[in-house]
Amino acid sequence: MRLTPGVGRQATYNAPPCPTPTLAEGWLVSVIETVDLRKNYRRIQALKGVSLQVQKGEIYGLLGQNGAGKSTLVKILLGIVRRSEGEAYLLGQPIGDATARKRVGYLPEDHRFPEYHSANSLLEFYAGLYGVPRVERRRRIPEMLALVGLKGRSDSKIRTYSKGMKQRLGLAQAMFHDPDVIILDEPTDGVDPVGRREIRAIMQTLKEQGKTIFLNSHLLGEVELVCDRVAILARGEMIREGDIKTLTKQKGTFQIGLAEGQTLPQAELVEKGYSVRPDGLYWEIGMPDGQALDPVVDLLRDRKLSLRHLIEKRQSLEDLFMETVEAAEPGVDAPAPRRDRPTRPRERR
Amino acid sequence: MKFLAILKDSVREALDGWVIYVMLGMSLILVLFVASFSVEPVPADEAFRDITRSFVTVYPQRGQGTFARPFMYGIEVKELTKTNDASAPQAGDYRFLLRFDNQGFSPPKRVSSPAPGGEPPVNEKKIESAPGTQFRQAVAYWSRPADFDQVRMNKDIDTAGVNDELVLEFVRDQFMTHGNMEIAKIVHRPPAPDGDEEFEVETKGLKGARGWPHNPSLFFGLWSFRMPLTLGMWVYMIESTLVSDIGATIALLVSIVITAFFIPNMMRKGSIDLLLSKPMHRVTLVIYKYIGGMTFVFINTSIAVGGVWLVIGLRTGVWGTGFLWSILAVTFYFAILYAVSTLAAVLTRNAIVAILATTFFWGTMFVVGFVHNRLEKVREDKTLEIPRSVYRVTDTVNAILPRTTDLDNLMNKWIVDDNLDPGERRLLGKDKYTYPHWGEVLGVSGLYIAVMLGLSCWRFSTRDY
Repeated sequence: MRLTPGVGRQATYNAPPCPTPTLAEGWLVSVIETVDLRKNYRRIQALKGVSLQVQKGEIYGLLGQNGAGKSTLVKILLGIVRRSEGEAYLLGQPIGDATARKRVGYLPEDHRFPEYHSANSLLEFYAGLYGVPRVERRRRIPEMLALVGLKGRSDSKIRTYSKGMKQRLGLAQAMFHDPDVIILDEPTDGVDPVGRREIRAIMQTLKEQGKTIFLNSHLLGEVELVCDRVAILARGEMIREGDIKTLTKQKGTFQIGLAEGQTLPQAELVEKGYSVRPDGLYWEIGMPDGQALDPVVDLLRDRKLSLRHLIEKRQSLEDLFMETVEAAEPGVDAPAPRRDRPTRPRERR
Repeated sequence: MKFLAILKDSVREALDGWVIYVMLGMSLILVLFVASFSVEPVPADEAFRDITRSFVTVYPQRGQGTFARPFMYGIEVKELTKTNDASAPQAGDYRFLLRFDNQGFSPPKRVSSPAPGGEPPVNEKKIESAPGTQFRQAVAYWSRPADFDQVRMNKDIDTAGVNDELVLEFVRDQFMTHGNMEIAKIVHRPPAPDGDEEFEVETKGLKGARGWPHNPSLFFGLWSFRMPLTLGMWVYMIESTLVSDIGATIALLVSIVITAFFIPNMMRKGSIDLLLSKPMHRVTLVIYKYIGGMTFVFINTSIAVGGVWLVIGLRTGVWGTGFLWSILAVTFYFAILYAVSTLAAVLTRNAIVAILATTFFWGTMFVVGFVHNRLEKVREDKTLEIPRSVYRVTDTVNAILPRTTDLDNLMNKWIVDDNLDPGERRLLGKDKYTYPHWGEVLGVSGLYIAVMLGLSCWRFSTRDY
């Protein structure tokens, strides 16, 4: 566990302070930390100086389009890919340290379990690599398989499993050795809606047990449901990071509902500079810069109108993601030019 | 615990394919086939007839020379009597009269003789007999070093110096060489008027059955046939030719194919990520996987060799332990090949490339070893004009590459030492063979394995997945 004083960073490197929760004694607990992390694959820069901190007990979501560098970041944390520059720590240890990996569970995207295994033997195999004692293995295997809903197929070969079942098994192997940190890359990929809900519930349970979860996912709705904080990567750069509530809050936009049969004085509000538009059964009111909602409420009272519904409106994570990514890199999927040198026009015959 | 986990995983992977079952099945069939083999000692009259029939083959230099030459005389064993009450023919003491029929003939010679009244016809053949000299010539040939010219069948040997003492020595040596028998007493009778040589011979019974000729039968006695070889020679042929040569080659080839998939499968995307995220050093992973592959071969070889050794012991009573060393030798042989396979697999992640690279390497090793061994045999022979540069090249190549052929020869030595008597070793040319030193073979080959594995570990550790 990495304890860092004050604003959450050790004095050994200079990186921007990060707003993170503080423990009572004034120490922050970072289980994952990267500082100006860079990775180059020859000419391609997969990561361009990513700095982030994940605190103990939180569910941290990493978002980004295909090729944004999410998996590269995770692989660097686990020592699967070597970093080009920068620093990274896992549970307070420099990455690549095998003792830290002992306390980490990992479910990769597009994982491929050896198909000659059954669920039982696969968990036995991976638990053996973690050094889980035999007695403990025997006790935990049925428990874990029951938890992910695979108990009835525990002796079937993996080659007979559906994609969803393999995903559940992957989750089981990631949790099996009771790790402190669980890194999940697209954990609900291929899982049906009921299974997704079960996986979300498992993640919530793990969070309640004090586990830290680092989640890569394209399914923004799910990320929104389970994550405490998210970061958005685009082309190897972190372009947004924060807690979900803060990021998705739409400043100055409210949703108002009146008692049945009453009508909103739309024209008067527009005259005063508010934007008004119907939003289903309610009205969406946008504040002009520097204005508060109080004059609107006063106006409604003057008109003897009864306020039945009032909430500050939020953006969905998907809207936020699209807005952020499109602003950062319009047309990200366009292929990068293969060569720097100009191509010679083909000769005409 | 991690090692056992990887080992079990390798075994599961091997068991997943049908090839391992075929291989184990083949091992069991081999054991069963050997179990169906049995031998029957040849009766004494037949045994002595077969043994003495071989006396026409004579080695020079008191049996220590290389080039055997056949001599044309008939041999007869007469008045054979067992002088003790041993029940087994090989345990009996025998007295008999040994007769060299000196009315034999020299090989045909082409001579030119003028036809009566005219020119000699072209290619006319005429036989010139040389009775009465073949036995004495054989003794003379046996007693001295032979030059290349003397080996030719139609070259007469000078019999000067052949005395009675030399003749008796010759007969004793022929019995030892061709029959593994010690002569208790031998008396040279005065030469018969027709020039035949006769000896009164008394032999001592053998201590075991190994040196006595036996006829084999297969399939639990269903198929018997007459092929009198000593029991030791039969066991040698089964252990050396059937198991260590043919069986081991097939087993190694199949093992190369099976194990070539271990590392490429491990390095597949999605699979390697899971393994590397575990608390293990990458080098450990490669080494454990390598040992896993070797263990697989060790188990299979143990079943085949151990099974054959057991049934041979039960069926023949020959319990030579040298053959059991083949388990370790074959595993070590595979370790050399698997190191190459591992490197190819780590570099290319392709099982087919690993198989091709390994078999190519194996073939190269075989050719290098074969050529080196052949040249080694004629190194001191001045009659062959081989440039010294050829020796230098083969010596260098042989010195730096793993010694698979030497390993084969050492494996063979254990089996020879266990089963063959000095005479049989001489007949097979095993008595004069200079075996390489164990330390050298293991050292050079082990170093080669270390280099291959070192390169594999380095590449596996430094690449991104």
